[in-house]
Amino acid sequence: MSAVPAGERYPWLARTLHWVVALAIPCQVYLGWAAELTSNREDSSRLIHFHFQLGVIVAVLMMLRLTWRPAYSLSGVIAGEPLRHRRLAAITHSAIYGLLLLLPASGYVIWVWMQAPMEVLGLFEVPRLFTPPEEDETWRAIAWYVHYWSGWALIGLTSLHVAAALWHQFVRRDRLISRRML
Amino acid sequence: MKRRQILLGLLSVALLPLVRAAKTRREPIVGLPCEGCEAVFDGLSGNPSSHARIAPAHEPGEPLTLWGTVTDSDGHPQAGVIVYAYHTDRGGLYPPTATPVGEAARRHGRLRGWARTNTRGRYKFDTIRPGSYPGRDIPEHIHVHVIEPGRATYYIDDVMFRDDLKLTPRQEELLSHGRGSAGLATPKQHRGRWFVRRNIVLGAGIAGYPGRNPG
Repeated sequence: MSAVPAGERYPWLARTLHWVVALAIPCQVYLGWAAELTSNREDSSRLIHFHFQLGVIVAVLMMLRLTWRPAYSLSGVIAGEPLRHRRLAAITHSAIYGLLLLLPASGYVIWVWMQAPMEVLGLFEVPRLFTPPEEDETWRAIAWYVHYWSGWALIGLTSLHVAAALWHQFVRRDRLISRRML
Repeated sequence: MKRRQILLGLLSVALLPLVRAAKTRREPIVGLPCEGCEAVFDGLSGNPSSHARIAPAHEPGEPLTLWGTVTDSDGHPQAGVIVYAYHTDRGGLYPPTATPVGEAARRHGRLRGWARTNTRGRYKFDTIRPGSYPGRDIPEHIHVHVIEPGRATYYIDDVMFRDDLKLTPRQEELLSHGRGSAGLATPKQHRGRWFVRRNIVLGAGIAGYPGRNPG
């Protein structure tokens, strides 16, 4: 196990995965939203299929992050940070990780229920792990609410995360972003 | 010869009220309230086929076949039941009809049709997939009514599509009442055409449905 000292630059894989997922989140929000608001069905289908494919990619990247993370001891501690800030940061990071797994999982349930195409980038097909019942929509409704509210929670928490990082970088001037994540 | 013609003329005049009565004889509307339910008779002619067309072949949009089996509450297929369906065009509007019809039927637009179930209780419509109302949260849907000859007419749950993004659990709750059994369908695409199955259980969830006589 390689330990990364507090405040030091994260390994390139951690940084790359972080930024790729960071870029994917607003894209996902846009695609999901636009697909729902577009009146034209063909356009809506195209947008939501992109949303599904990007969701699968994010799920894979998140699993990669989780698998890989224990191999390094990534300390999120910042020197001189008050305890309550550290706790808030730890809770926010864990919640973001959790939501980034919950969103693809609930999206998968909805997608299977819609019996939509499972192909991703023309490369492979995501297996259908269950067959939705003909006349019981309970789990589809649960998955829909989970997906919808998790999306809003993710928007809120990532906004908090970005605001905190910018505060460090530009207000506290400890160059946290450039020192650790670039 | 002249006398015969006069007799025939008198007979025709005598029979005229009966002919009119037969023409205007309509099944009672049940499952009230039902705004515009009388439109189901407006334009209905003769004996519709079990395989009918709603949208003309050149109508822009994704081709769709709506089909299903009509049964009684015991699951026995019912022949001779008329299924009436209408829906929006690809853009989500009820396109105006050029045929002179009453006000209620005019609101249904020109994409409307009738099919009479065959001996196996089957009906089928060829049409296009409707668009959702522009700028609204209402999911895509096809309105369906049933005319049971000599018994009653009523509307049943709209056909809705499981793959429609506007079909949120809230909308589903608002639009699903189990009238004529569930209207929610899983569209399946085959060679560029959508196939949507909507089975109908006669009288299910319909208030005031006269029911069948025992025996």
